[in-house]
Amino acid sequence: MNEVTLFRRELRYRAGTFLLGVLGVAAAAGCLSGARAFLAAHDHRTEELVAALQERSGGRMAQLRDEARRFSLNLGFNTLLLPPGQALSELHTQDRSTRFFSAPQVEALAAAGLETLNHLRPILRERTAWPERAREVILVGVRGEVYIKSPRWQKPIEQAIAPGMAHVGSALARDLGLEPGAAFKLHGRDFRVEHVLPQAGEEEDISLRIELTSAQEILGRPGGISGILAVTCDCADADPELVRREVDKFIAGIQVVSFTSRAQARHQARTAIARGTEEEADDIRSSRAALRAQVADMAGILVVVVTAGTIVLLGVLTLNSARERRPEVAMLRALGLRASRILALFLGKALLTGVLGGAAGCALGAASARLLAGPGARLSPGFALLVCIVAAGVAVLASLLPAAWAARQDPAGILNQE
Amino acid sequence: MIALRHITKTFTRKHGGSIDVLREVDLQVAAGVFASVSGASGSGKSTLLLIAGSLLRPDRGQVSIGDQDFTGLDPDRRSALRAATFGFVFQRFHLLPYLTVRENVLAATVARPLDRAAAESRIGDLLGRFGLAHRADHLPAELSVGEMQRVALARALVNRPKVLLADEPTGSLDPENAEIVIRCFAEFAADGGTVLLATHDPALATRAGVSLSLRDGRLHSGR
Repeated sequence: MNEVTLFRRELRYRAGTFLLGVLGVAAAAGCLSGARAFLAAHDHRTEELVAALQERSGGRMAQLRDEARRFSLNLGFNTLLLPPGQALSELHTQDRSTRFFSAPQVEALAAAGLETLNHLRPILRERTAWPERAREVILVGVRGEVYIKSPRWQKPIEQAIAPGMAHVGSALARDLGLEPGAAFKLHGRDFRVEHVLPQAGEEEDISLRIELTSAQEILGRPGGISGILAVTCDCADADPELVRREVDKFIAGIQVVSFTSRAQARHQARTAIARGTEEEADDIRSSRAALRAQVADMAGILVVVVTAGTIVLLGVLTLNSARERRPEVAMLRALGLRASRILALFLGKALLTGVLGGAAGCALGAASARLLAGPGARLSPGFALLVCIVAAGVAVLASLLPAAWAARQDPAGILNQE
Repeated sequence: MIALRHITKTFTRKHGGSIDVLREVDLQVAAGVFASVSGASGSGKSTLLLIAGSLLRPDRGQVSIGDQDFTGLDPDRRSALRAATFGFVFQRFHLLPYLTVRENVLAATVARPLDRAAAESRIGDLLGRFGLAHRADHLPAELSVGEMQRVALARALVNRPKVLLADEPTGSLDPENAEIVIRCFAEFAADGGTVLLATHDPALATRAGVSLSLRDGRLHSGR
């Protein structure tokens, strides 16, 4: 016979009281762990909502990006570099230039490895007479692209035009009945239509594109390049100043004209969506954080109230047990059991009550939270262990005074009374 | 031998005043002696027994077993002394309700563990001697009053105590069971043990080798 046997037998004999104590602790631990699991589910749901929002806006942004890319590609280019000193008004009203890039300048820019620009294409563009057709035409001399940022995986937007070949704007082709393969003369030179350009709704529709050198000769601008078309990188989509700062290092005073307002609008839309998404995500987070704080406050109050009730319950149960067991304790003292061992018997019972109640409470709390809040309601093993330890500690503390009272009872007085 | 010298014990009453239960009581009971202390209810018999058994401290005086004075011992050493020296039998038995007969007897070994085989052998002897072998696995609630007192008696003897202290042990028993108890005490004394019996029953007191009576807090020889 030892104290463990005494402990086990007594526990079994007063199982009802013991279970009542365990249930009391389980209620408090269940409130605590349930609240914790519920808040975990709340956090999980918040992240789900934010992720769903980001996914939705990500899809919309991808769509816009794709639209912008397709638009840029259709248009060909979205930036025009003009020589220093070239008046824009002159360019737009008279369709002719008075300032030109030199070939070495273009070569230098092509070799610069620009970050903000891609697909550099030098052109010579000027309105000129077309004597053979008794009309004017916008003649564009092109050389093909002189700089592609990543030539290994990027293809040219527009190929160079071979000498003697011409690309004809859609409106011009329709007016003159020019179809691919058709031959015509321009300033006494023979050309054949290689390609009719798709309708763009702009001046391109009435332009005639030929190889650069031929155009320079026809227009009497040997070596002249009136502008360089380019595509800006994503990083500089909406900021021509960024482009200007980079290219100005190579050609001082160079002018950067961004003419793709639709592309810019899409870029701004993307930026706005991204910003809006972040703001909405912040709103979701903050509103749910406020809700979380309310739930946490309520749970905190509940846990405190239930824990206080449990402490009182355990104290009363232990006190009742101590009173009921007075003759038994007195007899054990008469048999030589020390007061400290009696105290250990009572506190051991309280400890077991706390551990079992804590474990049961964690299981009940987590299961209840899962039932109410879904699979996001989880309880970490570490927290469950902490709850069991705290529950055991609270149970021992709640039982300490009655247990000490029981252990310090005068056995003689009890045995004499009995 | 148990010796009580100049034992004085006064209880303070809740509503004022005090009662001198024992006044300068001297008592010596040698080994092999069966002594009884008789007296009216409230005369201080139980108090004397509890002081003798180290469960209660006297206000003045000394209590010793052999050469050892245990009056001033700390509670833990008094507990150890109790476990090693005394066997107690009370009128109300004080069996632990959640232990079987066998376990109740073994409860006396919690504070003074016995070798398992020795304990089993001792338990078997005692249960057989008191006619309880067939009740070994029963709970106290399933026993008759006489059987419960016999279990208490077996528990008092299991550690082979030097002194047996009995407070009204037959107060709740029928004559047959009372006789078993008294015969047990006589045999214990005959085997060299010391028995101190407190009773208010004059007839029972006569069964002891030495009869004392307690009146007005003082011990007197004879009844």
